[in-house]
Amino acid sequence: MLKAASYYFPRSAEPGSVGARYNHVAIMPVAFPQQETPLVGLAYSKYVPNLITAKPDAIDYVEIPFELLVHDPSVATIGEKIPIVLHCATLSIAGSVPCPEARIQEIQSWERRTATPWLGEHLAFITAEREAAGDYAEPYAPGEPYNIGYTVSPPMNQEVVARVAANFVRYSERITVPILLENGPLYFRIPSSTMTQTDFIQAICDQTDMELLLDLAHFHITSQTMGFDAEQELDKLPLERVVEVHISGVDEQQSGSWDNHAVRAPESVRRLFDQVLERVTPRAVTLEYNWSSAFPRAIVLEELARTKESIRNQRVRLAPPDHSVTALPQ
Amino acid sequence: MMEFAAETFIARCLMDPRYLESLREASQGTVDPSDLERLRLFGGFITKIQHNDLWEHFPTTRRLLHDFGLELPFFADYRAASFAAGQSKLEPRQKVGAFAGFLENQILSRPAWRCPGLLEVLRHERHLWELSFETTTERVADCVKQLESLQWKRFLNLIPIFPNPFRMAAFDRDPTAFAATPGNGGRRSRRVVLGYRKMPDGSRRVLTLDRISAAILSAVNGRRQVRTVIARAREAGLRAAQPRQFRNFLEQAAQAEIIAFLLRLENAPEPKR
Repeated sequence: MLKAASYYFPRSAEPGSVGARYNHVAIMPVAFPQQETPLVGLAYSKYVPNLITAKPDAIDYVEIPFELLVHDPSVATIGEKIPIVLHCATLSIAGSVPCPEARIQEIQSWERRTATPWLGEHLAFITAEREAAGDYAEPYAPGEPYNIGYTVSPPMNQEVVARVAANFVRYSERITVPILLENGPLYFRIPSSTMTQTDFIQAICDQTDMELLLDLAHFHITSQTMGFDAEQELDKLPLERVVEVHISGVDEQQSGSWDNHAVRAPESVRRLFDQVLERVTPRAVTLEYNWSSAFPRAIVLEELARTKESIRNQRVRLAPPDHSVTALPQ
Repeated sequence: MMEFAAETFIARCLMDPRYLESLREASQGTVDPSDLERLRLFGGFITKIQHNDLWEHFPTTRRLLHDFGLELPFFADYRAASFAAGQSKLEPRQKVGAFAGFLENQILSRPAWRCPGLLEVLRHERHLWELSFETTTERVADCVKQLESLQWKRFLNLIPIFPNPFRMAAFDRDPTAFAATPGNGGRRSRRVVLGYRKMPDGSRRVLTLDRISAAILSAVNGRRQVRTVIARAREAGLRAAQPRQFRNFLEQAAQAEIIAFLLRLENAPEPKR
């Protein structure tokens, strides 16, 4: 049975903003349940509230980007019906430019308001120093760092391992819930890299107690770009650290594989998922079909059913043998 | 030799497309040209994701761009153009308009982009999108109700208007066939004239117009009298049509609330461009 975690009265927002309308609304978030089997959720999209209304048992939780909540706090009211898992693309944890203090405080606020069990963040950078970039023809933001507005996988070397480890510890002291780091997709060979992404993740895990959000589409894409066998490489990852798994589609364009949350996951991703379930039991599996508000509901439901079936099948395989035997006659 | 940190290098390539272009043209440095091209496409990929809301308004255009292998190259070009034009922070409506305008220019100016149906579908979906912002004429209350009893002479003096937003467009291929049939099923479709109509409840309808309907409706501009509309329609090819046929069509169009009639010109609203 799901229980309400706490009442929370959001902080004030600018008068007239979307957030202002929710200033005096008590959000009573449903807590993320403790369960031995993985819960199955959806990344938030416009279609998700209607899906929850029509099929209340279809998903166990909804994953919402922190950035969306900042833009439209009203989205958080869905947390009164279903647990929220907070996702984030703001900390730039692999970058050298610190996340602004105000943003950290906003994340803290939403962490409390949503009662999220953890914060999923990308093992990536979003901002980068501009000073050393040479002559810049268009000083549209002089003195400010580059803000790419999207997560980019960092160079994979010892220097960045140390930086990520330090940032992880620093941000973990500010965020109450665990921070999971998500593997990013590699679309090109990252300059200054001296190790594989798998070794990079392992090296960070060796230095910290970091837990993982394993995005299987990203992992598949990286395998295609870097030319390795994904299923073999998967076993080299510290899978025991995986708390959440992302499943989404992959697009083949311009001789490369690209992330695509507007199509269903390919068989290659599904095989990786089964392989993960054979090794470990994550707490949550999120289907990321959130790039098209017109994503067909029938496909979402099929994908949810298939995900649950994979989990069920794995549990049957892992079930302990039945030791009850008929007593032998004396 | 890379003179600054790799993150800064990647960020500059993504945020300063002209810099990336200069590296590609120079074909020197520590980064492989194929990786520079992938970086360019990655920039396009980011821009594509930042336009995910286009799925709502331009679903078939986006599908065709993808199917023709133009999606990432287009968004990479669009990224460079929008950065150069300082369009990084457009309002949502401006953003959609800028996307549609840039894509139309690309299709018209680059022969390699003349893929079957792409231009037609883009224009079709743009009409539908633009229609959603148009508002209803305010003078509908002044419209003539009893048309049947009206003498022919007085009927000729009426001024037909579109009480609800309405526009027409001709296409070499039927864009609705592409929308209805995934996999470029509309390639062989024929020339067609479509009418776009916004209903009072805000929903939008697409009508396929025959030659007669198109000729008459295209002569309606909200200021012309019926007699002028008929004259224009005759000039457009309906020379043999009988007056009764014109009147029947116009009355039926009024019954379907596609058009309405004003008694006097001073009641007529300014024609929509």
